[in-house]
Amino acid sequence: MRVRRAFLATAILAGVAACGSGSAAAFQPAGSLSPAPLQAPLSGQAGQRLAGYQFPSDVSIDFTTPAPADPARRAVIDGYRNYVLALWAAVLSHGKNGAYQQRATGNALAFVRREVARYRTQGTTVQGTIAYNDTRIAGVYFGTGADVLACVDSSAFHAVNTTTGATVGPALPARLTRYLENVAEGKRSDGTWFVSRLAVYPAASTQGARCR
Amino acid sequence: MRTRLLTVTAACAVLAGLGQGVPALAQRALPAGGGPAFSHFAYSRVQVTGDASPGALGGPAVYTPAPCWVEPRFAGTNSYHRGDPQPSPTGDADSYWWWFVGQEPALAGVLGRIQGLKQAVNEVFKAHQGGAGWWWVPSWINAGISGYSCAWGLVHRLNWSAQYLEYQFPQKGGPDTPGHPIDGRILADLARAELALPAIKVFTSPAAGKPSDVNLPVWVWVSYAGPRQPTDTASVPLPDGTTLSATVTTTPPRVSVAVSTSSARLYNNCGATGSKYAGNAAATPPCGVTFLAPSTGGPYTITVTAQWTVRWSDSTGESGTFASPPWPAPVQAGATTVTVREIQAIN
Repeated sequence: MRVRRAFLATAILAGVAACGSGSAAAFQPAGSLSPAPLQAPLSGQAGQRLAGYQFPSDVSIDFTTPAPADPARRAVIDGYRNYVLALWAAVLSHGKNGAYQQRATGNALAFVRREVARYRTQGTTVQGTIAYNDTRIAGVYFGTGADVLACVDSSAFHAVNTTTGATVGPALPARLTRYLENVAEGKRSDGTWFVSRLAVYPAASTQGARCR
Repeated sequence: MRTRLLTVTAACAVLAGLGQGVPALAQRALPAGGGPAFSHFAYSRVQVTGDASPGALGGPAVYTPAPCWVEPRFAGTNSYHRGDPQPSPTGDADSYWWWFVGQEPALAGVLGRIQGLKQAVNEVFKAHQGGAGWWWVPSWINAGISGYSCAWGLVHRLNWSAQYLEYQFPQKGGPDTPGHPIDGRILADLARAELALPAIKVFTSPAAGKPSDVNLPVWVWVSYAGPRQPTDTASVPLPDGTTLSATVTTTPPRVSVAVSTSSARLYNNCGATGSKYAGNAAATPPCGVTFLAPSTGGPYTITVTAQWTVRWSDSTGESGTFASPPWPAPVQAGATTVTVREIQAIN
């Protein structure tokens, strides 16, 4: 009995570890256990798609930095870009597109949920162009953690009334017209990356100065 | 094996399902705090004392090594106590496990109510109660997000049985210990990154703002806004009551002079402070410059640099230096300008 209980304890701890690490089983941040790998376009032009979601033609999510040639580093950038696309797909679909649940966890997931809720309750959506510039990998740690930076320009990205189509303000808070986005990424056992933490620094701040 | 996989799968299913219920924990503001006694290091008991500037770690280029490590936190005698778990950063390993999962749900993996989980976790810690090993925890630099990214990578690379807590034999550094445990080298790196080299102030004779003449020596000296040979120490308490530490020391600075024109004769026997003018206008200064042409295109710039050599040694007898690059050169610089006139002959 003692042996059996110890085995159960070890197994449960291992199970917890496996859920988080993606080593014994693919890590599912907060959703289903078997997400199909999602194919997303990496260049943000009108008509881009994500996991069956067709972005409206009046929305453009531009990634202006060429993807790295090295496949391992490209996978890290893909993880970030896919997170961004999933974020805006969630907002534009008013939460119906749930791809973000496989692309984000931690406060990055909370950020998506907040944005979805904001646009759901205000009867608004987004329109225009948001550009992710100067995207670079700040570091890759132990092969399974990474740190990505990007300068985001949302000056041409607007909130519009879903009924009238009238612009009602900036898509993001005014202090985030231009900002530095810094994400932590984790690697799954299948080699894909997802965003595990998010920090934003307005361009007016010291940390965000490189994005002015 | 089948049983284990089923257990894992079932646990994951429950955990994943309940993961939707923990966003409140995940919505904490960034950067993450580290609990009591932590400031710029998250979940760490590392302290840096001496001529240190903690804010220096906030600069993205200041710290080039991996900005995370694992730290021994509890002895085997503090694995479990009756009444556990009582989530807390102190106390024992069992309590820390539960506290940390609340602090960092994303790093720890989703976790919710699982029947029997508390007892099962307790079993793991109970099994090591009184053992000779130590419980190790991840720690990182709490500036920006790179430390967290690093910790994520490290924790998942190590694949610990308790995910972010592991029971291992005591280690006190030494070369090439696996798992990136804190050692003298890491402590030295932290101390080096926080080392506050004093700013310098440049003085000249003739003084700044007063013109000099062609072929008239300009004497140069400096003052330091702080200890001339700064030193600091990073230390971490170990579960056995001892302390692992690394101290960074500096040699006396070497001052050198450079100017913005090639029409000059430099005197670079400056030592640590340069040469203050002592009243002999005909003497050649050990530290200074003689301009050989007037500054017709605007004042000349005199740049003065103080450079140190930085070394470290730790409490286990290891020692070393810091290569530049990747470390920034240990220098401070100051500058002044001088207008140089042509000497007017008097007949």
